[in-house]
Amino acid sequence: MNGSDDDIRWVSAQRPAIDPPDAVATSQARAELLRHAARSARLAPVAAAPSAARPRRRRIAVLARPRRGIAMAAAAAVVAAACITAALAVAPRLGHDGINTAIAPGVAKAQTLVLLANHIALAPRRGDATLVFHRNAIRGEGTFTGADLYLDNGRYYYAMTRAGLPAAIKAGPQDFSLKPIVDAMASVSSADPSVARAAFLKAADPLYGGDIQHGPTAEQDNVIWVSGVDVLGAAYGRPAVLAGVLRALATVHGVTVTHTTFHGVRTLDIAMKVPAQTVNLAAMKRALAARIKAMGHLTKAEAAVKQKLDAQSQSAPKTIPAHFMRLTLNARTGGLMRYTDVGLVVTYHVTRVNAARLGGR
Amino acid sequence: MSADLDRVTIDSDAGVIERSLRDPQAFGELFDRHWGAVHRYCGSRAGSDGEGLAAETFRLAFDRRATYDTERADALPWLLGLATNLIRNHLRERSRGTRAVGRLDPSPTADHADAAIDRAEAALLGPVLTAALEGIGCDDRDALLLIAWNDLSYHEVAEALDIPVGTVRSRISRARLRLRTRLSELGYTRG
Repeated sequence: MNGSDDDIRWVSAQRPAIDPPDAVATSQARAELLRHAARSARLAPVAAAPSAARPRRRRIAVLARPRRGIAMAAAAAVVAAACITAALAVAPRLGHDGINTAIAPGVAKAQTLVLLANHIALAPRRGDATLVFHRNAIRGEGTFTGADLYLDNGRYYYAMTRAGLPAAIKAGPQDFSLKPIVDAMASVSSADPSVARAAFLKAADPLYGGDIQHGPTAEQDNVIWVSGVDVLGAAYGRPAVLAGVLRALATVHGVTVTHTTFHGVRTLDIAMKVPAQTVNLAAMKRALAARIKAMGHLTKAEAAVKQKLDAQSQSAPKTIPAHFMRLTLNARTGGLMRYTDVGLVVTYHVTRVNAARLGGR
Repeated sequence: MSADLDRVTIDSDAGVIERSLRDPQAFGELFDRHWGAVHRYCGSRAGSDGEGLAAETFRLAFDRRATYDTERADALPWLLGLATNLIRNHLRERSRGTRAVGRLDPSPTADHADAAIDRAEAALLGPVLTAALEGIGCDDRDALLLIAWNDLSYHEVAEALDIPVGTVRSRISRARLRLRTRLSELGYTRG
């Protein structure tokens, strides 16, 4: 168009304002399209066809989790549930468990996450920091809380309670080990999910000992699932990062997304199926030892797990029944709301705040 | 993994459509790429009915994917063309209801299809735009709005509406001539 196109520009400017497509309505339209496609092709719809029950490794839990807050929850869960949660963190490589490590990232079942990513990528957030308050209910261990404060300038503070944050802030910023992942996700907010996945793994690689990026696909899925949960909380104030993480999560094999409500809020339940499996406590102990050898030390959470493990007399394998790990997100904002695993329920309250009011800077 | 990444990266819309002939679920990728644009276009032209029309556009596209010209890498013009036809049919249906209500005061052009669609669309576009587009025929208006609202080129409009490029030029020329006249009449100055 050239300078004489004022009339075209005028018509363009008169275009009725349309709200961007609602994430839920969009996912419904997509699901309906795929059902239509399935009917037309006389194939079962994707949503109705659960993934083949490949044996998979569960989340890499406490031992591989570099951050403090949730790791403590997982640490307690490990102990409370007879090391259920963390045990597989150090299980042998998947290939040795008969797991098909050539699983291509499956995006189709989690397109809702991509659509949500498109939606929230445009959403502005107020304030200059994100406060993630989480209440962790652990079977047999009671309940404890944690408060993570993520400033948009990259600083991070943690306290067990909201009231403890000013003191934590005064003491100085703490290390947020997942920051490289947060930074990497910012650049893939609109990328293809497989690109987001690759960026996630590249950033996570050093945090997991440098063998994740090119490791088995199922193990990569675990890294994305586990770290993704924490990054989702940290990224609430940065929609682009949130969008990147959701795109990466969409590639986790077998992940399913269901529309739900939670306390009257429209939510998305993201589930990752964990088949029945056997936990090898001895292998877990060996891995702890290996980590000490490689890193020279353990985090406090890891040390706590080690202490509990050392206190247990039995090293016999334990069986974990098949179950789902579920993550509940606000369907509009992508905000974390709940996380459940065997013996563990974490409820979140994620808000944007002004750090100065809490003493942050 | 890298091979998979390569495939995903280089797949054009045409590639996705071709793949969907073997794997129908792959059509979801086309939805992900263009839902936003199609939704916006349908919403702009059909108001609250736009979302349903956008969804119907993709269903129709799926049904017709075997006829897609895979020489065209970008499928958005094709989708917008399908949407345009659906919108027009929708407005026609809507105008029937309007006519039924308006029989008590029939106008001389009440049976004229374009006029009926005009009235239906007027309720959706608002008075200012409706006044400016008054007198521009449906075919010409479709071409004009595809260019003005979607930044399509003449060639892409031709693909969208499945008409020769020369026809697009003449439609746009006619529409703009009428539009400028109307803008002048309505007191909008250029520049």
